[in-house]
Amino acid sequence: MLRRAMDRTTQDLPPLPDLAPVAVRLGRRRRARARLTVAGGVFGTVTAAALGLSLLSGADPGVAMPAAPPAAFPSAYHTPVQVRPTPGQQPPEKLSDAESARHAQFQQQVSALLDELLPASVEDIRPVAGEVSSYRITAGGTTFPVTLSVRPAEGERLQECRNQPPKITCEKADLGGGRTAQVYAMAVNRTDTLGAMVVTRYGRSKVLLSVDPSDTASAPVTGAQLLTVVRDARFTDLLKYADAHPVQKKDAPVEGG
Amino acid sequence: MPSPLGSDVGFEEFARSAQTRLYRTAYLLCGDAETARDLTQTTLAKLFQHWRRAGAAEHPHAYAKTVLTRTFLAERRRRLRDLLAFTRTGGLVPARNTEQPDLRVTLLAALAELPPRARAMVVLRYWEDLSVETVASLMRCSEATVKSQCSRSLARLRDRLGEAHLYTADPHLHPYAIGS
Repeated sequence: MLRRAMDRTTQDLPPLPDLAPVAVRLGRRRRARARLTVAGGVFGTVTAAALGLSLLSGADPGVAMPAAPPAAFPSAYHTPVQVRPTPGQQPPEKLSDAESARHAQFQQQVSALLDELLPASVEDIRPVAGEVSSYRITAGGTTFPVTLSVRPAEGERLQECRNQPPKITCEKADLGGGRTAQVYAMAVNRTDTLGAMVVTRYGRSKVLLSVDPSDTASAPVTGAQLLTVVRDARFTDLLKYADAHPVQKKDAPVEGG
Repeated sequence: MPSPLGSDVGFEEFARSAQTRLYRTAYLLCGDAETARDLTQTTLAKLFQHWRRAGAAEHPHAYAKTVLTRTFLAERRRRLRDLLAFTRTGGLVPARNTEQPDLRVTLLAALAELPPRARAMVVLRYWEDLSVETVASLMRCSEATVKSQCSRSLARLRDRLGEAHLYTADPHLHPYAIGS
C-alpha cells in the first residue's frame, strides 16, 4: 500500500529533459579531475615522506610554500591513509604539486596536534591523502572519521545553539577574546551512534572539528575533549594560518541531494 | 555496456532508460522536484565517471541506486552540519514550515520527518522493492538494523498519515497529496 502511495506521489513529476549528454560532459570532467588528483596526491605523499621532518619544520627551501603552517609541536610523521573513493563520493579537486605538498604539510601539523591533545584511548591518527579536511583515528581497533574544516565563509555567522535532545545537544562555550564555540553531540547515521562536533569562527573562516561514529560504535571522543583541542593556543595558530592561507575553498552551491 | 577496450558505448542508452526511475526515487528521498533532478543528474555523471565498472556490473541499475542513495546521504550529512552551525548574515534562513497552513498531509512531508538514513531504507525497501539483505549491504549496516528501522519508520508513517490515507488517498486532490 505504501508503494502505491509512493507511486502516486511520483507519477505526476514534471518531465525530465534528456540528462545523458550533460551527464557525459560532467562525468568526463570528473574523470579528468580524479586522474589529476591521483597524480597530485601521489606526488604530494611521496614528497612529504621523502622530506620527512625537514618539511614539517618548514626548513626545506626547495619546496615553494606560501608561509608554512606553524610547527611548534611534536612532529612524528603520520602516514597518510589512502581512502578509495566510493561511488557517490565527490572526487577531490585538482591541485598543483606545490599546493598538494602544502596541504599535506598542514595535515601533518593537524595530526601531530591531535595526537598530543586527544585522549590516550585514541591510538592512531592519520590524514586522508588528497582530502585536506579528512583524517582517520583509531580507538579500540575501530577506525573513526575526523574532520577539521577551516573554510572561508565571509558573511556567515554562528547560529544559535539548536537542541533537539536526545538526538542533538548543543552547548555554547567561550573561547576568550570574544570568540565563542558550539559543542554538539549528535546521533549520526543511527540513533544509537553519537558523534561529536565543535564549530566556531576564526577571522574570515568557519571552523568545524568533528569525530563521526563508525558504522557500529559512537565516536571515542567527546565534545568536551574536542573543545580542549580547539582551546589550545597551537590549534589557534593553525586556524590563523589556514584563515590567512586557505586550504579549502568557499562552499560551492550544493549539487544534488 | 562498455566494449572490452573500456569505451563508453552504452552509457547514454543506459542513462536514458534509468533516468526516470532514478528521478522518482530521488524525489522520494529529497522531497522536491528540483533537488531530485540535480541528484539524478549528479548520479548519472558519477556513473559515467565509473562507467567501466558500473557498466560491467551484473546489475547496473542496482549500481545506480547505490550511487544515488550514497550521494543523497553524503550531501545530507554535509548540509546538516552546516545548517546546524552557520547562517548567512542578513540572508534568508531556510526554515521548515512546520505549521503547514493548508494542513495537507503529504507522503513527502511524512517521509521528510524521518532521518535521512531511515528514509532511504524505507524508499529502497518499499519503493525499490529491495530485499532486507540488499538494503543492508547498500547502506553498510546489519539486516537487523534495516528491519528495525523500517518497522519503526512504517509505524511513524502510519501515525502521521493514518492507515486510511495510505489506503484510500485520492490522487486527484493534489498531485502529491495522500490525504487532505
